[in-house]
Amino acid sequence: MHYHHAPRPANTQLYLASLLLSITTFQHYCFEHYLPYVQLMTILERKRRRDEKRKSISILRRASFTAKYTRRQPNHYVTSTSTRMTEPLQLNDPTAALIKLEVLHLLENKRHPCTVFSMANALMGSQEIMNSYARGKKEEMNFFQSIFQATLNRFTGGGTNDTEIRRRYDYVEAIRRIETRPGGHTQTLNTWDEAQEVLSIVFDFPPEKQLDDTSGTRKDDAIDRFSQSLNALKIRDTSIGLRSSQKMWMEVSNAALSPKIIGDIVDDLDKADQHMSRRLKKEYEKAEERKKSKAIEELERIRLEKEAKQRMAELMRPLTEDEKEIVAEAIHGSGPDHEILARFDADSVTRASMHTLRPGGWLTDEVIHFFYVMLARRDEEMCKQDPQRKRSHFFKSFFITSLLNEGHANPAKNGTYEYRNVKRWSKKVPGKDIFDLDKIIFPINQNNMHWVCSVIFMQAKRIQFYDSMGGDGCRYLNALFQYLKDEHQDKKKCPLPDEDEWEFIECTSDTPRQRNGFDCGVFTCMFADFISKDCPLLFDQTHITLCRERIAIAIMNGRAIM
Amino acid sequence: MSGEDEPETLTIRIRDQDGQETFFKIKKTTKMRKVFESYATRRGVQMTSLRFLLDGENVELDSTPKMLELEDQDQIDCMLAQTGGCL
Repeated sequence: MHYHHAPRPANTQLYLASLLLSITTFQHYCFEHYLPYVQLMTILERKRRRDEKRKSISILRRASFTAKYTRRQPNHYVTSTSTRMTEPLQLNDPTAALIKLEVLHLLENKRHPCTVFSMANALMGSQEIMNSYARGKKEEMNFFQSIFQATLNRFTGGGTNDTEIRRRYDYVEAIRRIETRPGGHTQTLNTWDEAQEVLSIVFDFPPEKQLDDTSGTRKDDAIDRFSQSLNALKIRDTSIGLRSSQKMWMEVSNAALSPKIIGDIVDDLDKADQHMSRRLKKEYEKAEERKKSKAIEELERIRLEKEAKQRMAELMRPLTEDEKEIVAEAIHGSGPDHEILARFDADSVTRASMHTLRPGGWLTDEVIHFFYVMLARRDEEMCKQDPQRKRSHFFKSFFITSLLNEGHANPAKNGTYEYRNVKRWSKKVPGKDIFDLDKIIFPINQNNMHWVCSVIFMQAKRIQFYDSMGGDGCRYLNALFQYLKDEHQDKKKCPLPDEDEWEFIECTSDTPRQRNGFDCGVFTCMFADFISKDCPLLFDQTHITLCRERIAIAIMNGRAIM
Repeated sequence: MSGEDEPETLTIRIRDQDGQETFFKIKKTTKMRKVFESYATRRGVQMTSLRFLLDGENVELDSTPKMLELEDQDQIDCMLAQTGGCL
């Protein structure tokens, strides 16, 4: 058919559009993102083909083929029934809108006055209008959808059936009737109203209100609606993309599609494509990152747990046969009570004290202090291996006894805080500066009845109390904090800085508990043992018999189990 | 030479948990064991039930004021031995 001789879409824009389509069909929201561009491309393509068509028409005119052209008879290619054709064709909204758009474009062209003939030619050559009319029953399709559907059909080549073909023929017949009207070449059209008058012979236009569908505001509305529905789908970024494309749309339809703009649009398409892939990549990376960090957290938790258990297993390792022999001899062996079994510097443990390590025995201060000295030695060794590590100090239980005047004969003084009593004690601390330590561990004896433990975590700014009977230890926390303040004032000549940052933790519910009336000393040793090695307190009463042996072997070997 | 070896004397204070102070005038070369034994006897207790501390650390019984770098009027804390098990 002669009006189908327009070249196949082969320009860059359509190629890009089709490429975009094929790239994005599997990505639903990408698809939606690009939809406006596809629509835009359709407009561009129409414009291009119109120009081409006009060129060919003028060639035809120049070659004086016009007469021959007009002599064509309608029945050359359509099996039409003239009775049916007398009825005007019912146009739906999108088709009417497309026709108006097409005619308005023709009218705008000042160089070639628009005649009825040229209008008919243009309408005949428009695939969009014909397709739109052919599919006319789908009334629910809006302007954009119809254009998009047309574009899609062009690329997929599908979607026609018998009814559509019949409607196509009808459309062509209607146009032919206008085209072959007498005076078609000479009658010039100046306004849309004039054009509509002519077209009304064959077409039944819907009310004018719907025709405004092509005006800018309607376009805006349509895009707004589209954006809103996208928003509803929570594809916010896509709707932002749509907004910008809407702006571009308006620009393009206002300007007369100069080559520069087309170039810009192609650039923009490239940019949009890059932007899209970048964004997808970013999203993907973010998701991966989230997944990774979650996995890392989980791994870290598992690792810490494993490490803690590992350290626990090391600390609680079973004794070798040799060690068991030594322990048995020390704890159960006979000899003079005052015989000294272990000595380190000024600290010593007598046989009588060692006997308190027998199951059920109450531990004496000698055993606890000697064990703490062993812990201090271990701490020194650990600090040598790891220069980053700060030293810890283990005071004797007499520190609190002195600090709080415990057991003082004068009832008014008994249990009262007195810094003066321990003022000089920090001289024996490693580095002679308690504020540069990592931890200070205090064994505490309560009324010659009970052993507990309190720890100042100097770097973490925390004072915590550990009691295997679950006492709160408020008194000791307050006294130790007061000691820190007094010590800072005395040695550094200024108040303790960041006082508010200090945290006080009474005995927590997960602190291991004794289930008898004699093991508190052992618990107190184990608290210090685990804390000084930064190991969570994972032991319980069931380990304690082993712990008595561990204390004994540490004393007899002169070193704590690493 | 004999002048250098002339043992100097100094006074040390032994302060018990009640804040009571007992003064001992001793030579710099006297072993601390002797001082502590004398103190325990005076208090009527066994020496094994007492702990003697200098600045919070145990004092070695065989050390002398010279080794400990004690000065006149320095204080030694005397604490009672402690025990506990919570019955």
